[in-house]
Amino acid sequence: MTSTGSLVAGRPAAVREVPDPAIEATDLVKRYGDVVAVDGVSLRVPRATIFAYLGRNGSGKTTTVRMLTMLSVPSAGTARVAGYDVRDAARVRACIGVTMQEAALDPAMTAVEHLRLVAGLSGLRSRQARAVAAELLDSFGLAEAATRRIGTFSGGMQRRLDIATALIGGPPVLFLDEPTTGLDPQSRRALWAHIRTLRQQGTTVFLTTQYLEEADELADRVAVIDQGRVIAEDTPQGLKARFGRTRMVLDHDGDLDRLRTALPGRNVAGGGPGRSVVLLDPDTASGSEGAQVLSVLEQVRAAGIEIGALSVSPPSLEDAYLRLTGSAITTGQDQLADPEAGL
Amino acid sequence: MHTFRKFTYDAWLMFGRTVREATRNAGLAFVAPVLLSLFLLVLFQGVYGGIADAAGWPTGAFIDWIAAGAVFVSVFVGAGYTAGGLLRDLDSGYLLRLRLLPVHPGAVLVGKVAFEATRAALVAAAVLGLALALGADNHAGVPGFLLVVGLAVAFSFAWNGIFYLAALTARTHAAVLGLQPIFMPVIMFSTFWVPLSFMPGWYQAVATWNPFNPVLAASRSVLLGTALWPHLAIAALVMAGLAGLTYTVAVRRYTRLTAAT
Amino acid sequence: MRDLLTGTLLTFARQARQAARDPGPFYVLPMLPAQLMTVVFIALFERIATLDRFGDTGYAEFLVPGVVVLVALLGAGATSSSLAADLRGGFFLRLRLLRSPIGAQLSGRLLFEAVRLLPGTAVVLAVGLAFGAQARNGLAGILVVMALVALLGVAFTGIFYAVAIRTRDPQTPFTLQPLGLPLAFLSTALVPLAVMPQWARTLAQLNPVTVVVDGSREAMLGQLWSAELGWSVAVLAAWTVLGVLLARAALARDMARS
Repeated sequence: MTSTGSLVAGRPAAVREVPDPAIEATDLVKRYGDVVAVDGVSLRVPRATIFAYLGRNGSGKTTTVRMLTMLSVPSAGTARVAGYDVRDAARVRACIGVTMQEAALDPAMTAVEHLRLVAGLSGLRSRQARAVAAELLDSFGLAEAATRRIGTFSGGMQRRLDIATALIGGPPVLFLDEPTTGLDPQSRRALWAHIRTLRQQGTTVFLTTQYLEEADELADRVAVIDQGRVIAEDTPQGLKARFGRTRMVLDHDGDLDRLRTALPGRNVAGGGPGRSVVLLDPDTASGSEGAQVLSVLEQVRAAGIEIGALSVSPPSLEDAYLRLTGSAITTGQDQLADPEAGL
Repeated sequence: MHTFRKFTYDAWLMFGRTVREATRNAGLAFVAPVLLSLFLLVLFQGVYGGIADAAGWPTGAFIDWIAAGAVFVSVFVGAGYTAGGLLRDLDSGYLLRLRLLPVHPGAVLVGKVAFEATRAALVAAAVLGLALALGADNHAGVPGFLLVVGLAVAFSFAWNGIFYLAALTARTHAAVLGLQPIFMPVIMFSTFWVPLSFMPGWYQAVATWNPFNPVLAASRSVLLGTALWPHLAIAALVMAGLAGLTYTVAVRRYTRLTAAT
Repeated sequence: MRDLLTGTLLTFARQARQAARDPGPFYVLPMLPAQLMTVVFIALFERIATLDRFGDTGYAEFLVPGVVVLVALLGAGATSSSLAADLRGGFFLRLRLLRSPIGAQLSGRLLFEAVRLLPGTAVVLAVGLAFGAQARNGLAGILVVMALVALLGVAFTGIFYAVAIRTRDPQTPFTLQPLGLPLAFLSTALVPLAVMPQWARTLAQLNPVTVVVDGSREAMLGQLWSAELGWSVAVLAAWTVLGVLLARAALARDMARS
C-alpha cells in the first residue's frame, strides 16, 4: 500500500466532538435463548486510542461489537458510543465506521462504484463522494483495480476495500472486527501503519483480534475476553508483566529429573532433547526477574549441571493469555493465533 | 437524521445501483421480454389470425385483441428480478453494510421498486409501439398509449409484490424463481387470447374468475375506444388489492429483517 | 473406460438425489408450458382448424406430437446448475487431483437429463390424448415420441453446459430458458408450414426442431418407422455431439485458465 494521504474526509456537519471515553459499556449482557454469549461486559475506551479485544472464536467478541454497533439489542446493560446512547442508532451510525468479519460487499459492483455509493449514502455530495472514493482507493492500493468488479478481487483486496469503506466520512470511532484475518504479513503491517496514523489523527479504534502479536504491537489497551466475560484489561505490557512468565531455555545434559531436583518449587518442563524450559513466576514476592534468573543459574551450578546455551525471553502475551484462560488461543483446528511465531 | 430529502436521495442512489446492475444483465431484463411479446404478436396474428374471421369476433383483426395482453407479457417475463436482487444483497452481506450506514432501510426497497416500475414502462412502451406498428388498433392516440403503459407499470408494481413476499418469507432463490412460471396459467386462462364468449363451457367457467381479466379489459378498452371507466375502476381495485395483500406483509418482514435483533 | 462408467453412474445418482430433494425444476416445470398450451390451444383454436388451413388432420392430433417437444425445449438444462456450482466451489479441482475422468461429470448428467423428462412427457401425451389426440400406432408410437423428446433434451442441454462452464452461474438454466422459445415457435411444433407467413416458414425449414417434430408426428399418426424418424435421430445425434464438443471445449478452456 502507498503512504496514506489524508484519511479524514468529508465529515458530516452533525458530528460533535467525541467525548472521553469514546466508547463506554456497562454490564452488557446478550442472551440467545439459554446461551449467554456476553455475560456482563464493562469497558471504557479512551478517545484517540487503539483498544484491542482479544479472545478466541466463540468468546463473545463479535457479539459485543454487534451490540456496540446496534446490530443487536443488548439483553441487559447500557453502552454509549461517541457520546450517544447506542439506542439512538441514527446518531451513532453517523459517527462510526464498521467492518465485520465477513466483508460486506456486492460482488457485482466495481470498487469505485461501491465507494461512491457508500459515500453518497453517508451524506456526501456527488463531487465530494468521487474525491473521497478516489483518495481511499489510492490509500489502500486499489487504484488499479478500481474499475474491476469486486467479485474478481482476492480475499485480501476485498478486506482492504471493506476497511476503506468504513473510513468514508472520517468517522471518529472505528470498529474493526478481526481486520487482518486472512491478510499476508506485508498487508497486515501496512494496515497496522494505517491504524496508527488514524489514531494520530484522533480516531478511536476498537478492534477485535485473535492475533496476540497484533494486540501486542498495536494496542494501547487490551481486554481479554473468554466465555463472554472480560477477564483482564490492561496495557499489553501490563498484562505481560502481571500474568506472563519469563522463559529460561537451558541446554544441558538432558536429565530433566535432576534439573527438577535442583530447582525445587520452580516450573520446569522438557523442551526437546537436551533442553529444558524454566518458567519464572511473575509474583514479585519471588524477586525481580533479574534476581530470579540469577538464582536459578546459581542453583543449577550448585547442583553441578553443566549448561550449554541459555536464552531468557521476556513474558509473552501468549503466555499471559494461556494463564488467564487456561488454554492456548488456538485449539488445533482453529485459526492461527500467531502466524509469524517461529519466524 | 432521516430527513425526507435524504431518504429520497438514498433511494435515488439505490435506484442507480439497480440500474447499473440490470444493464449488465440487459438481455434478460429488457430484451427477452420484448422479444417474447413480439414473437407472440407476429406468430399468432400470422398463424391464428383467421379466428378474427369467425362470426361474432369483436375486433377487426386478431392482433387488435391480443395487443393489450402482449404488453403485459413483457411485464410478466422477468418479474421478480429485484426481489432476487434483495436476496442476493442479504446473502452477500451488502444489506448488513447498508444497515451500518445512516440509511433508512426503506430507501433500498423504494429504489428497487422504482426500478421495476421503470423497467415495466420501457418494455411495455416498446411492445405497444411494436404492436401498433404491426397494425393493432389504437383509438385513443398518445394519451391512450400513455394510459396503457401506466396500467402496465401499475400492474408490474402489484405483481412484483408476490415475489417480494416470497423472497422475504422463504429467503431462498428457489422460491423466487419457482414462482416465475405462475404467469402462464394466469394468461392462459384469461381473456388474453379470445373473449369469454369464444371459450368452451368449462374453460369459460375457469376463466371468468381470473382477476387478470379486468386489467386486460381496461387496457383493451383504452385501445379500442370502448367503455373505459368501469373497466379501469375494477382493474385499479384488483391491482390495489394484490399490492395491498403482498406489500403489507413483505414490508413487515423486511422491517423485522433489518431491525436490530 | 471402467472409471468413466463408474463416474457416470455416480454423477447420475448424485443428480437423481438432488432432483428428489427439489423435484419442481427437474420434473414439474418442464411439462407446464407444454401442458398449458395443449389445453389452451386445443380448447380455443380448434375452430380454426376447421377453417380448412390445416389439411385433413384434426387440430388436436396435429398439435400434440408437436407441442410435446416443448417439454424438452423449455425444460432442459436443469443439471447445468449443479455443474456451475461444482466448478465454482472447487469440486472440479478435486476431481483433477483424484484423476477422476472429467467426462463422467458430463455424461452422468446427460443421462439424467434423458431420464428426467420422461415423466413430464408422458403426462403431456396423456392429457393430449384425453383432449382428442390420436395414437394411431398405439403404445409403440407413444414410446417413440417419448424417446425423441428425451433425446432432444439431451441434445439441447449441451449449450446449457457450455454456458454454465463459462459463467459458473448456477442460475444458468433460468437465464437460458428463453432460448427454447424461438426454437419452439419457429418450427412445425405448433402450426404446419403451410399456414406460416413466408419468413417464418423459411426459418422453420432451417430449424432442426422441425425435423424432430416431423418424426414425432409420423410416429404417432403415420408410419412408426419412417424416413422422418431416421432423419430425426440423425439430427439429434449430430446435435448431441455438437453440444458435447462445445461443453468439453469449454471445460478444457476453463481448466487451462485456472
